[in-house]
Amino acid sequence: MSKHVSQSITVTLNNRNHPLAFEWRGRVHRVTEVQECWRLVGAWWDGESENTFFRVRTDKNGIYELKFDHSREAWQVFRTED
Amino acid sequence: MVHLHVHSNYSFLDGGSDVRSLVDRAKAVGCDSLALTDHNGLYGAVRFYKYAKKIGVKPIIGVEIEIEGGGHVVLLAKDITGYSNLCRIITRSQLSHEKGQARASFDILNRHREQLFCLSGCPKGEVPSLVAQGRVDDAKAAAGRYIEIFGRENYLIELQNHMLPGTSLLNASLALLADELSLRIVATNNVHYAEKSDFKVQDILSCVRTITTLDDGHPSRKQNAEYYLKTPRAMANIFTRYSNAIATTDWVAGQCNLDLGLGTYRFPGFPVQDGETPYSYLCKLCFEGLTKLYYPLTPKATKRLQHELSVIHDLGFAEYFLAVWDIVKYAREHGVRCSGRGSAADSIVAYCLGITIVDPLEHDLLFERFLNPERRGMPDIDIDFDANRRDEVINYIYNRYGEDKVAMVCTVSTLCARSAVRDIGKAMDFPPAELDQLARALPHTHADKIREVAEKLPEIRDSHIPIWKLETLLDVCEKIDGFPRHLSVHLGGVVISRGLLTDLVPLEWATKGVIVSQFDKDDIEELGLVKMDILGLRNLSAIEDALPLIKKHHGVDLDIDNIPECDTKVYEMLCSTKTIGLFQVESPGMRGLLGRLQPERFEDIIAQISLFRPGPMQADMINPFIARRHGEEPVTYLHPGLEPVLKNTYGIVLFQEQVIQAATVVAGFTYGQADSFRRAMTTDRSQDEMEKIKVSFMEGARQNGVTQSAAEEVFTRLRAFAAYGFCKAHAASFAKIAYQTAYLKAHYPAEFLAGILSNEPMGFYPPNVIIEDARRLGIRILGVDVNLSGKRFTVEYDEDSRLSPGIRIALSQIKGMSEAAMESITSARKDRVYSSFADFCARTKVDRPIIENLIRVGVFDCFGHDRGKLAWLLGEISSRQPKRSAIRNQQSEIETLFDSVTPDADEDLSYLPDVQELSPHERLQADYEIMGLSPMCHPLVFYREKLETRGVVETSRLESLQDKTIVRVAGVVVICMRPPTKSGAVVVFVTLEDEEGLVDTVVFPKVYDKFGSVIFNNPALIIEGKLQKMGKRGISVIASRIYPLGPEYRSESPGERRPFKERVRSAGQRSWVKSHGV
Repeated sequence: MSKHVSQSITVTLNNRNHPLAFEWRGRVHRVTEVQECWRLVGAWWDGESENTFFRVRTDKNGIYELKFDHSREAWQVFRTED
Repeated sequence: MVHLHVHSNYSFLDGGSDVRSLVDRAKAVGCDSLALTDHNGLYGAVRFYKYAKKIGVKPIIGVEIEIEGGGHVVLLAKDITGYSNLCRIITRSQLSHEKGQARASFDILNRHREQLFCLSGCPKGEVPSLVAQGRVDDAKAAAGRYIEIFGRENYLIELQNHMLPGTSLLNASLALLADELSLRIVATNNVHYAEKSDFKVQDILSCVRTITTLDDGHPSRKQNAEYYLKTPRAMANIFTRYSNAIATTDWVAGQCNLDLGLGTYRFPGFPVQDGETPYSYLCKLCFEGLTKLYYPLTPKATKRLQHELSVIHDLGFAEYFLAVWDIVKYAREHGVRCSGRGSAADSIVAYCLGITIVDPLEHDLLFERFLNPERRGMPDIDIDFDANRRDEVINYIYNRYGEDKVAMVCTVSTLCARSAVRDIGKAMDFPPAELDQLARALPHTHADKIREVAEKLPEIRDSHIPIWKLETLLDVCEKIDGFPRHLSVHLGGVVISRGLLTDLVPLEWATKGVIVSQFDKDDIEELGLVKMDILGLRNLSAIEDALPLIKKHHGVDLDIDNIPECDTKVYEMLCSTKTIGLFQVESPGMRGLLGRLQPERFEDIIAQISLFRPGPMQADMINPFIARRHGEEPVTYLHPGLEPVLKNTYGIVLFQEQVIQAATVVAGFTYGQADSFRRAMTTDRSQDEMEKIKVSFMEGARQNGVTQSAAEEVFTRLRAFAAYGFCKAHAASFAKIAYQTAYLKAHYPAEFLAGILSNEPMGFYPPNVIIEDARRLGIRILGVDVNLSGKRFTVEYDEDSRLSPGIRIALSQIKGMSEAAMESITSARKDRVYSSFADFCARTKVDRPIIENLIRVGVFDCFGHDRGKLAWLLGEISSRQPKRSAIRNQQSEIETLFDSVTPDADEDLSYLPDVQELSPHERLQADYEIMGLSPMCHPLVFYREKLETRGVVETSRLESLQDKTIVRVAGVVVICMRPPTKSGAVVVFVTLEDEEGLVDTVVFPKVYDKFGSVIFNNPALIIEGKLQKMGKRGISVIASRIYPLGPEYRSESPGERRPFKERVRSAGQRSWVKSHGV
């Protein structure tokens, strides 16, 4: 089951700009594996920006989709998986 | 790292960058090789190859080709054998399917597999898509088929990563499959644009291609902006797990070493008899021609021919000339009128072979402008043929050389302002009405000029389109300027090869079932293939139509190709500016210039044609030329030595040939060097290059004893003139046809104008304007008659010649008329004319809607019944007939519509109810609706009474008025043009027509700014302004106010000032007549 979240977070990146760790709900989640990375462009003609998504596994064995909004330069936890 | 899967904008609406941008980007990011792999074609390959070589990037030519059964693969040519195989695979894939549905079969791939790499393609390719579906065994089987064809070494599994969900898994599976099958993996990015920022352009073009809007969404649209030409480092980062896939790109590129052999000429062979060589045969033909044309032979002519032949020999072009001669010979032997145009007329060889019709010695034409012995360029001979018979000539070429060696040349239609706005606007979901208004307001211009134009056009500025929306539209339009839109057939380009054409050129279907090359004329020339322009010229058809009419009515077998060039009536007519229908000199601008120039000899016509061009106009050359010609300004020369060169043009450099001669005189160049000098100055050069050219000129001048200041002056002027000088040979060829048409109009106006009308559309004016011109010349306009009208316009004289000649309107002018119906009408009356309307119905096979139109325009008036009753009778008779579907037999032949009608069925129509006869203006309206013209009168006749009360004068009165008089004129808009001006300001030239003639008006920017939307939104106008008289006959009105001429000015009956019958004129504009119900 996945759950849509869309909550802002702070993220630490490695030299390839992939997440190393993120802080969410007061605790730090360390990324142990980037399973997939993808990038989507929204309705650019309506002002929507490009977003990059990372599906990551954390040290607590959680699966999260993290979203980076390129225009706002902001990170979110976009989705979580049970 | 090398990008091996790259689409340019030659993937038609799927690529977001042109080939140059892609090559530039590759070079900039450090790729020393680059492939081009557009969809199902090599459209951009030649220019890509040439440009890549030029800037030091190794070009790899390939294609992404659809496969029968689904999917596609990328093929890359290793060498010229591989390239030829690409051409063959593409051609077979294209021609064995409908246009736009190219599919390669495995059989085709197998037959032409040599020296090709095959890449498995993007995730939609057969193998990747099977892997993605988890059907690994099927994928292996599919891969096996390609391995069997191309070999394990040459079939590669393509890995792509555009950062889309599922990519990692797919690539891992593909890599595993490759490993199991011992295949190489290769990394590509399926590039669709050079820079990431070009994504929007590609996205919107995808919408245009799929006929969707941006909001619609479509599976073929890219989900992100990752399809750009990434740096090697970025690619390496993406494929860290598959570094060997990156290495493979370099290995593949290393194996691809294609040499297209550009610069090699590949003339079609020309068989000659034993003992002859092509050159000896060419010499023989030329001297035969010379003897006929220059009898008695002069040393000058002989020497010139020997010189040209020697150059042709040295350049190896004898076969080319023979091939052209052969085509022209066929045309002449079969009575197809033709005439060479362009710089070929500079050649006495072309003249002696009958290819051109202008004597190069008489008109001082320079061979080196055509063929420069010091610059081995492909000769270019364009020939105009009678448009009605051009296809016969093309068929001859196919038969002569074989269908596998001949094809029509394509032309790549590019996005210009109008098409870009319409295409992009639709994708952006603009309301159709707004889009239509915007597109109609734009003149024909390049897409990158839309913003500039839009800002200047009041009709756009005043529209209700939101600025932000317009801005986005204009942004995209600017970026896609010149992008290929689709392929179509070049007007007359035919390519002929020595060997199989598909060794070098891929072919495909164009519309109308014509096979065309995928390369345009420039690329064909780059490949060294012979391309000829076999053009159709309707003016030649009009001449050809007029000659038998002249023979029939005057008993004169006119040899139009040998008429004297000093005919007084011709020059009188040219000076009078009454030149509607004449080749090249009928436009408003040309007529205005004729009025000022007042030509008196053939050279003047050549000058006239050369002067009215954008270059001389922008350089303001016309005024000094006219002033010098009329002795109002002294004739001066840049250098005394130039007097013989420039005497005919009053010291002004007008022709390209004069630039060559001048450089020869001043700098001591040979003609060849001088032509190279001219060419160098006519193309964009850097300051350094121009300086080098100048140094060589100055040095030559110094050695020639010309002072430095004089040489400086000549160089500066020549540099300016060279940019716009016109090719005199081309002008002379056109002048010849212009003169022929003038001769015909001056001596046989009815026959000539009938010829013009039969070949419309042509020239500047629609048929109704030609009809009006005929009326002004005293020619009667005769309505369509069931017994007298033919398929084409004809001329009639009454037996005792008391009446002026008449032009009988042709059946073809009737709306909805078909060739079959015309054939039925004309063949059934061959033995016996129609005696009645019923007789017509009984003996012809014509559909009822056509008969209805025939009745409405009075085709049966000759039988004495009124049109209303005939229409009633038609309805009554047809109601007694079976349904139309029932009167077709099994072979679908149309049976006679009224089988049971007896020829006397309309003898007495008194039993039919009285139908109110149409009023004169209702009849006029019907004429315009059905024929686009009327034998009755000009529509303005109905407006004159009210126009007179408002001070509007007839155009015929303008000549008697003083210069600078403030006048009001009114008429139907015949021509409305916005030509480019030197300053870039918008000046509109509007030509109005009333019942007395035409008047040319000029709308300058301030007035245009205020009245622009009135001009372009109304088919008839009242224009107030100042009369301007220039020279003897130059009359125009400088507009100050412009109003629509609406129905409120119309009277119910024609003006009473003169008897109606004397005032009848026919012209006007169909749409205006229809909209105003005249």
